[in-house]
Amino acid sequence: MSDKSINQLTAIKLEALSDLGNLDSIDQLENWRVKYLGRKGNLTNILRGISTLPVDDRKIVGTEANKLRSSLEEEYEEALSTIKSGQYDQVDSIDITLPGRKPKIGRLHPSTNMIREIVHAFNEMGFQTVEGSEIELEKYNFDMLNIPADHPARDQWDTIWLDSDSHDDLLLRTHTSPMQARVMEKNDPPVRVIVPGKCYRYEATDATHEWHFNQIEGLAVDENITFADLKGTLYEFVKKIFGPSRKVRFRCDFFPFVEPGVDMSIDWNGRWIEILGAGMVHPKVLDAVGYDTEKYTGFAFGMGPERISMLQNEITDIRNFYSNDLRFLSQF
Amino acid sequence: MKVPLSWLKEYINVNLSPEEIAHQLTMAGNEVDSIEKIGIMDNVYTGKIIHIEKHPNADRLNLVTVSLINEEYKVVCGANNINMNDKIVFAKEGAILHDPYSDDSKLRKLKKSKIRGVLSSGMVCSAKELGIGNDHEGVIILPQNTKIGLPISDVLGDVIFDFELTPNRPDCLGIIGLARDLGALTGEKINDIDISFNGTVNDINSDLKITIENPELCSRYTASIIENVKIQPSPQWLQNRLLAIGERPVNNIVDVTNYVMFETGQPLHAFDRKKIMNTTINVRRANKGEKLVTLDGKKRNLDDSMVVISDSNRSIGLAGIMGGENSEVSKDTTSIVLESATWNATNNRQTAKKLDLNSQATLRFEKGLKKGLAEIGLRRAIKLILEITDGVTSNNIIDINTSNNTHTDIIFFQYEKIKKVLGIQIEKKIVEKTLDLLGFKFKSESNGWKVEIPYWRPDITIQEDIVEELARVIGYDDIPTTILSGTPPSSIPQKFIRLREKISDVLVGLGMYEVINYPTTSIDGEKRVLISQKEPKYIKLKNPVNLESPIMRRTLIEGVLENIAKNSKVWKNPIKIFELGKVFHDNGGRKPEEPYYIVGGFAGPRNEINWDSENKDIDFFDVKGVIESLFDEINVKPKFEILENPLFTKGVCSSISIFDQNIGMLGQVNKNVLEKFNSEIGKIFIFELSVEKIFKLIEDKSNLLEKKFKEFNRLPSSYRDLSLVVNSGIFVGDLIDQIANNKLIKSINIFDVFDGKGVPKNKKAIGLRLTYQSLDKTITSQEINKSEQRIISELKNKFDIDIRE
Repeated sequence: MSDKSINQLTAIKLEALSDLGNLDSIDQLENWRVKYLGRKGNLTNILRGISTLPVDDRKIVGTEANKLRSSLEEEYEEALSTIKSGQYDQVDSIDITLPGRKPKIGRLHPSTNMIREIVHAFNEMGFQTVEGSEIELEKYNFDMLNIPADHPARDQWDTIWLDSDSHDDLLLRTHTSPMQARVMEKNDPPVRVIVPGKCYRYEATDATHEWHFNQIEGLAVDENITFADLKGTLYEFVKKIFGPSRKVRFRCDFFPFVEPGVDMSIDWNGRWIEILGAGMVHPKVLDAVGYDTEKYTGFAFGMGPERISMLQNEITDIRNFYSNDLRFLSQF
Repeated sequence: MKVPLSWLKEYINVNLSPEEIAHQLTMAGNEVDSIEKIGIMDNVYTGKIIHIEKHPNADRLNLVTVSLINEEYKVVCGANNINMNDKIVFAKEGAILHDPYSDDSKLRKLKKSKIRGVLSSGMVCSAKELGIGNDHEGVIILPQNTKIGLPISDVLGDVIFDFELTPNRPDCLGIIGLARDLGALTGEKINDIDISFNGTVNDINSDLKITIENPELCSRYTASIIENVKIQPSPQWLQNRLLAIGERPVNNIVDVTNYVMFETGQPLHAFDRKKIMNTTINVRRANKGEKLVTLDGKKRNLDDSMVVISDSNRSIGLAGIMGGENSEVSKDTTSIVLESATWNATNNRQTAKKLDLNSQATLRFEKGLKKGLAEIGLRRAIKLILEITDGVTSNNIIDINTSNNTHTDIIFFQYEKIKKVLGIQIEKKIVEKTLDLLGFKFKSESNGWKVEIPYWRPDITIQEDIVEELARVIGYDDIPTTILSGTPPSSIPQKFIRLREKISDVLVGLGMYEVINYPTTSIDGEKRVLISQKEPKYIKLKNPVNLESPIMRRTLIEGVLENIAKNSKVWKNPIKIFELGKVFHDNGGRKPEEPYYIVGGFAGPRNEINWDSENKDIDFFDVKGVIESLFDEINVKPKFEILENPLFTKGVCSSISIFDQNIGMLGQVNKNVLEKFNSEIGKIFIFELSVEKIFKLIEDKSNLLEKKFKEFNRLPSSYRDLSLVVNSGIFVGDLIDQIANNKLIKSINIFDVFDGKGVPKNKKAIGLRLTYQSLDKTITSQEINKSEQRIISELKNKFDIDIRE
């Protein structure tokens, strides 16, 4: 009896392997699987019939049949993966040139982008961000910065004043420098801050002038801070924002709240473009906040992010910034 | 300020190119704005008149023969100021000259031409034709010792630097000041200014009586009488100097006072002595209501804050600003009083501002000139006037010092200061050489110098000022760079800035563009969006840049709506914008408050047109979704509740709160409001949030921005769908809240809301997917069934729902 069954198993094996060689689709393979491994398949029939065999044969046939089954199952898996791997033509093709369903991302304003970039560069150098109010007292905007009333130096800042019944010393800050006085008034040295914020000037708007703009102020005060540190810090800033090979020029300039005063320009296509005013904090400014001028020195600097953005983004008319035209805003 | 190179060279020996001079001075703080080269023309030469005869056909014209050594030319000439042997400027055929008769001085190429029948092959030129002045009355007569046949640039060529100077350096408003700076940079000592003159021994000045009533406003008054002057046009060299810097020559006396001002920086004034009553000068405050006609012909109303120079019974000049017409030097003047004084800077500036009279004198006096300069200016002017007129004066000048202050200020300059400020040491030898070149006298002491501040440098008052002098002369480039040392101050996390950045970033990620508007507006403009508010305390500007926007904004909504209206005309894609900025409220404090708000605006289609996207307009739920996403990111669940606000369309708006505190609102902008904006899109949605309130609330609830991990339920969950029908007036939100009370409910999604076909009138159908999960074990279907039944019966009781099968 067992011989007969063994022969049958051998025949099934040969047939199955031969059939398998001719298959080339998943459907055909599925038919093959049903035929040889399915519940009503040849092999299953033999396995079901084992119980009718003599006890001695049962073990032999059972072992052989199970061996064959697992070998066919292996063959099946292998054939399945072979067919699948070559099966790209199984779905409808698509037109991959059609645009995708693109979740639209908005944009920050170019001023915000530039402010963040610059502030970040100074944060990395240990400068902490602080902010101040846009409506300021004359005292902080001018007097404490060594810009006394009726001094020609004030002509550098055309001022918009508030029309207030109670106080005639309120103004829209003309620069972020009032925060120098405010920060030092509140904190003992060492001080190392970066101050971004909006500023205002009473002046006509044209392609290169805006009455409303941003400024970023920096201040470092401690023992042993020198002009060389100021230069080093600003070089580092230029490297971070404009790349390591950018040429930089420092020249003498005048701002009442620093001495010596500095104007920093960078090389832009062969021209020197001023991007920043700076200097060593004037002893009168340190004195006004009660710092010991024999002990402490410091430097301060200020720059216009819109001007830097104009260079980097090749914006020729500053009025674009506050036009809030999406045709402009969507480009940055 | 304009400075001719030729004038600069009178004081300094320099062989650098104009560009190099400009560069060096710019680096040292005197910025050169432009360099202009003048008097450089082809085909124009110096020549000599060797023959003059009348034009045969025209009485007023001459035929002139000009020699250029090797060549002779015969030309027609209309000028009547020429004589035999005069040295003149001759233009050959082909020269490019300015047309003196055209308005804008057009350039024309000179051609041979017949004038009244006589051939003229060239031209004797006026200043105007050469483009170096406005004079066309006569031709230019060159000095007799001029060589002839030279290209004109050798004689008239010059370079004009235009400086943009800083307000701390009034000395550089004089050419000597710039020469001195250039000298310090190139290592050359400048020539001394020549102030010597031969006066008479007679004390001509004894007639002049001077009193100073207000010494605090006039620290020094120097003056001198010059007699026997003859008023006439200045010599050509003097006129040319003034023309080159853009000043109009007037007469020899006025021209000298101007010349000396541009040379030394000291303003001067000349009075006609005969017009000074009783030869008396009194410096006093103006009387209230006093009037004075100044030299520009304008009547000035004075007040008692202003200083005048008066004679025995009337004012004759506005001190340090402008002279009076009543004492003006005119062609009949034969004797003058020359004044050179030192006026109080603040008072001078205030007066000029009040009268809106910006003179060259004020430009200098307002910067606080030192009184040592007054005498130098006076003596220099006397010298020049005596040279060009036959004037006579005393050897002695009148000099009134109203304070006992010496003319010199001393600063003790510590050697150590240099290192402390600059970070490098400068050799003592170099320090001393630099100070010397800049004209500072000094005396060496054990650890520094006693430095005498020269009379032309009012800006030097502390040691740091001297450090800057050294640094700028050595060159900022030669100072090394170092990295900040020491410990940076400890850093406090900037949570408020971080929250603002986060909000902006999320909104950008959700497809919104950031706008930034001016913070000013008008009362009427703002009333369009702040409808229900009672009249607030507006923050007004005294001098707004835009007269139509005289107040500080109290809301961002107006600006955002304007932005949408403007963009609606040109932007056909979805408009999604936001502004995160300050508004301004006067709450009675010392300064107004400046809280941050954020306003978003939405209009137009939801998506850009695409082959597979639905093409609907933005609606309420797009905006609400943005708010929900935003608060997901902040880790807070916002609550939306019915709102009544005339800004919005009734029923299509909502308040927004977190932790039961109102923080903002959203909704569709009311048609009546939109009408007042010129928008091409009729449906606009906005939201407004108070950034300050959000910040305060989440600060109170520990820091929600710092996300902490919570262990999540890892047990299996399963869902059941539920279809209900309710009255249309029922809020889905209320159903959800009710269902969420059940503790086995993990989440609720709404997969459908509809009415119409198949749904009874005044009812709506709602499809919900409820996901169940147990906290402590795998949930069974019996538990789900039980829970579902309870939910259904609760909903039936509370909301009268029906279940759809």
